[in-house]
Amino acid sequence: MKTAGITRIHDHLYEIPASYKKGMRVPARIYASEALLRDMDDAVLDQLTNVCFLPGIIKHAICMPDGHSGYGFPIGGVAAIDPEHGVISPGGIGFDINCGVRLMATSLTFDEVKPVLKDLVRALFNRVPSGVGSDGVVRFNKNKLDEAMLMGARWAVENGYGDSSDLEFIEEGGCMKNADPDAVSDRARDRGREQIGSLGSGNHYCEIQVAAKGNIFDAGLAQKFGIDRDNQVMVMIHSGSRGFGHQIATDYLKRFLSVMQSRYGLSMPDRELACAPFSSEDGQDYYRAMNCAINYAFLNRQMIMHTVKNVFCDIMKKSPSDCGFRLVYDVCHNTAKLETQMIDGTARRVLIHRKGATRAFAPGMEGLPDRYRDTGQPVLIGGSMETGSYLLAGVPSGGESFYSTCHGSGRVMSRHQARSTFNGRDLQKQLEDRDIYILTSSFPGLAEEAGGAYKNIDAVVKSTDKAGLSKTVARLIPIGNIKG
Amino acid sequence: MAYELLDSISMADIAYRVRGSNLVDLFINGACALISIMLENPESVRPIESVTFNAASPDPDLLYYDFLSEFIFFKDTHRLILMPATVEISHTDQGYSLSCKAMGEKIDRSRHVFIADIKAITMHNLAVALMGDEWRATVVVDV
Repeated sequence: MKTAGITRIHDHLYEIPASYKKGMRVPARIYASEALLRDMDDAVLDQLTNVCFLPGIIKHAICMPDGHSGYGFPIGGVAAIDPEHGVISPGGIGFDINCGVRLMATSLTFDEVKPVLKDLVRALFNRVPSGVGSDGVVRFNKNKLDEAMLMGARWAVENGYGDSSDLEFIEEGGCMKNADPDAVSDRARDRGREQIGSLGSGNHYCEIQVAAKGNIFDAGLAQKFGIDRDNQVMVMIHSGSRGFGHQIATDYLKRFLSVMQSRYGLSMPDRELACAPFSSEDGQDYYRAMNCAINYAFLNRQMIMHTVKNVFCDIMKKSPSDCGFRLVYDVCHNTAKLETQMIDGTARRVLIHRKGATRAFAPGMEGLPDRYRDTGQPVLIGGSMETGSYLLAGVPSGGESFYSTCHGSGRVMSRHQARSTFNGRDLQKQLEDRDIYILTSSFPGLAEEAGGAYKNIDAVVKSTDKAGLSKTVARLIPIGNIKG
Repeated sequence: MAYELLDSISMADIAYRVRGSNLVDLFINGACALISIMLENPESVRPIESVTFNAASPDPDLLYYDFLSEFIFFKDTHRLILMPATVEISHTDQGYSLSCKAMGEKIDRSRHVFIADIKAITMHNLAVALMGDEWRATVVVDV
């Protein structure tokens, strides 16, 4: 990234003044080390400074250390908006509404799983639907889908796909209020009806990981998050709201564009930042439809986890209690949520847009389950299938970023560059030689997700920690992975 | 059919540019590029099933958005991978309208080798314009 005009605030925080571009209402801030900042692509700067044009934006637009360019907001983009006088923008959330990650602990160790690891990955690949054109594990008629939109993960639990205790460990209890199926089009219903319980494709995955003693950075927090033995087997699931959320975003992006200027007199430098006042009928309709998609994604990940549990029980020949399954936490990446936050010493209700960013509530904050009241929220940072992932915790200093943190390692190569550089089949073999067993429905897609296509996750997490966005708890090493 | 990938526009997603000697060519080339970005072997799509759809918009770029979005919708909803067969576009004072017949078949992963799954067409840098004597379109898709 060209850094002219960017001011260093400290070693892991940089600011672009509101004078950088005519029309910016607030400055922009990038959390990153100098090296990470330098390696970000130039389009990040353009997209982030465009976010500063949003009416009602408070304090500054933010980009996380894993930031890279997308559309509308950069990936890793965060904006807090005044809900009374500001807007909601689908481009600040993304098409894959509530794309997110959940982490499940087991009581199994690597030694127990190792002899059957390939069987386990094969069974996961066969039974967790993934890839283009795959159907989900349940098919909903209109009434059932409407129920799911309102209930989220609670629908799964009430219908035998999980335990009621799971709900406590999902953001918002796995169910957003203010969801309204009437705000959802028939086209979105049609796209979503048959995809519940499926991973999708691209960077979505289900990964078996190991938490080893040498990779624990805060033993007390790790223990409270459910890591209580050496070489403990964990499962990470990354998926979203599938075609259902994509269609809702598509529908409302077009609707907002058609009314943004004529009805509200608003214009933005990028049409992908189309927006409407949050309090308007248009804004509220999108908010209610988006909440339906958030609930759909919570349900989707819950259903995938249920399939994963069944696979583990079958392959390990153990009961669920003998496998010791426990949901550590489920976090959202692409949302706009109303949260109460301290802004310049005053508690205010704000609409936080996070696109490719994770909420990271600090200890004591409202909305955390009792178990995590004193620890802060578990933060799950999904890395590439080669380099591993991280577990972090929310911290009080996160208030500066509206209690938001990074979500992954962030790309340094476009998908096209990655496919030109890596070969999916070779990569699969190389990883197997390193005892990481991977199955995919798309080898070109696998090449796009090579570790070399991403930033160094250790550097991203280090910068996240040093910047005071969240605290490092444990590194999780991949041993098996299925990709769509 | 040729298309050009534009890596500098988006790291996370895919941007491409197509050209056409007229608007109909541009639309057909844009949809073919979409399928070529998703499939390693777009020639494997057999014209077994036929679908027709219409779209209307005041601007050619918004019409392009609607047109391309239909191919994504049929892929997800009906598991149909489609190529454009015929496209008719008319232009009046009220704007542009389009009628498309697309041909294809149900997704068969034993024959169709997917590179990527396109989730949506975005409005980011979306442009349809006449440049000299050729039409050009720039599209960013979410994958």
